[in-house]
Amino acid sequence: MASLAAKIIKPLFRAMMKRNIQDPDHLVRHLRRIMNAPLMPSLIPRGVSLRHGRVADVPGQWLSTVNPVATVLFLHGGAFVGGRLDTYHHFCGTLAKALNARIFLADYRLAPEHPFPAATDDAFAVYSALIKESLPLMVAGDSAGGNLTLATLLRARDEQQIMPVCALAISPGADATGKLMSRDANNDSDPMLSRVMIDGATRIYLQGADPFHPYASPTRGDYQGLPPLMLTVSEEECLRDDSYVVAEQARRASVPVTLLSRQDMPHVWPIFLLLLPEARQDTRKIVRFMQSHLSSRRHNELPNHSSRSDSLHASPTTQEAVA
Amino acid sequence: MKKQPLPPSRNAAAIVTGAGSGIGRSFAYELARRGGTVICADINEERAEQVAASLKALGSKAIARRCDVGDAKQMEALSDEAEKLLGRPVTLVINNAGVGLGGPIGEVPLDDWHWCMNVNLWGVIHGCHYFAPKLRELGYGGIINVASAAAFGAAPEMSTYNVTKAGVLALSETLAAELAGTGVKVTALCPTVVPTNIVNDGKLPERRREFARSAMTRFALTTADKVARQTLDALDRGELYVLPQIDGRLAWRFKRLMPRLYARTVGETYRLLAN
Repeated sequence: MASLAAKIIKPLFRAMMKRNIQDPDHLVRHLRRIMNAPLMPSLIPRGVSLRHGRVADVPGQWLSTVNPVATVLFLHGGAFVGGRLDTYHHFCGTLAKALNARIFLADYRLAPEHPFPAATDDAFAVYSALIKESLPLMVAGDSAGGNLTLATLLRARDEQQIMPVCALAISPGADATGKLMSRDANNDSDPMLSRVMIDGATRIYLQGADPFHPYASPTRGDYQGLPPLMLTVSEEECLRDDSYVVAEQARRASVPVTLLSRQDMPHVWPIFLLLLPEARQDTRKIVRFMQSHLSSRRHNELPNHSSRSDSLHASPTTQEAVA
Repeated sequence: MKKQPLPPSRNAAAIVTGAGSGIGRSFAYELARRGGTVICADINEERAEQVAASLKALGSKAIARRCDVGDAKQMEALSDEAEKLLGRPVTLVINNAGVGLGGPIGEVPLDDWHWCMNVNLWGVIHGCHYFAPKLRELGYGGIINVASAAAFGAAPEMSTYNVTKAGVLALSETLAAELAGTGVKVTALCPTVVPTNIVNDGKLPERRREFARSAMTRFALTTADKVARQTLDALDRGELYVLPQIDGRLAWRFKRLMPRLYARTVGETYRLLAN
């Protein structure tokens, strides 16, 4: 049963966002108007500071504690055409504080001005720069940013870069082929997105590029050698199957996967932790996931504790379903 | 101890009219999920076949039939062959088939009035006329009539639709009274906006069609699947009224408390929204 807050929020999101806009220019205008509005107040927890910066010439914002012990690259959502970094201040600030980490919110280039692969190039450039630094790195993203997260991991593996400690994709839009069943099956139940919006945004992003390419559709990727992965997805959203397919692909490649699915939640609910009790619960789970992989990494670096990681990775197919 | 009969939504031998899309299709799926055999009747044979085919693919027994519910002969024929098709007596009838018609009174052509009355009201009347006696004789089962919050909502520029649905509601209430104590349960479903094909397939003035379509996307508080599930559960509990959405429940309460103020408020609100 969803919380009362979720029951109130979902119809509001629906009235604000959900449309069946066919015209691409109109869709871009609509998505930008919604996503670039102050959806969420910029509430940064005490002890976390915000400053603007650039990594590998990609602009962005740093949210950091005083003495961070880890780095998180965060790739924001917004259907590849919009998105506002301030929306993520509360969620990422909470993560930064809980993990004692610094988080780089990358302001990657957006379509239609900069179509695929501009966004993946930016994400990968930032990744390549951050992975060379001394602090352990994690990658996270929501929605379109979840796609970029997975694409970045696949590309980093392809180009023989070091893998991050772990990665998180929140309701990733991981399939551009338009063939997944949940696109139609959940077209009515999704409180934010519709098939028409997703297909439209995908066309605007790809602009004729091959939708079967794994960097465009990470569901089509080979997950051999990827780090532990956490996915969150709502059972009632159009993007449900994206997460399930990614989880399946990753498990086939023996990548440890944590799939957190919930009923009756809006798309990317964990970032609305100011509004939803479910988001607060699941953000704690996300923190625990990242923390456990960070500490296992730390233990691994000590010569006598190298076997520690096995116990943490004992079950490569953790699945959590919360009703 | 006397054995309790199964709730009517379980293992039903069911007929669903308008099963080719929308709420009817969701009813068909949900009944199959609950172990039932379903005759999927629809005026669009292709859609009925598709639904029946996917039910069969899921391992259920389903039969597709083309049927115009407004035509008494076709409904009579369906009621005659139903038992043979299902292999046992019909236990559940869902009079779901309905069409949308909009426009200000005086502008809606009388032919359209007849068309809508024929499907929405006469379709349900035919369903009850031919199946209720059989169910009464069986002493077990259920009838679900799909009315609408329009039955009491007095939404402007929907006069025909409101009239037909009010008739369906009155018929269902009467039927519930008549069949009380016979073991046959009656439920009337009164939803507000549910995303279905009703706008695409219905007759609306062009200037309203886009508004109706976007309202269906933006203001739907539920889905056809959820509505079907809720209604079947309510039938099992023997509830007459099912109002699955909060806007419908509020309108219902408001109208019953202050009927005159209700009509005025609806009118004023509509003027504000529509212009």
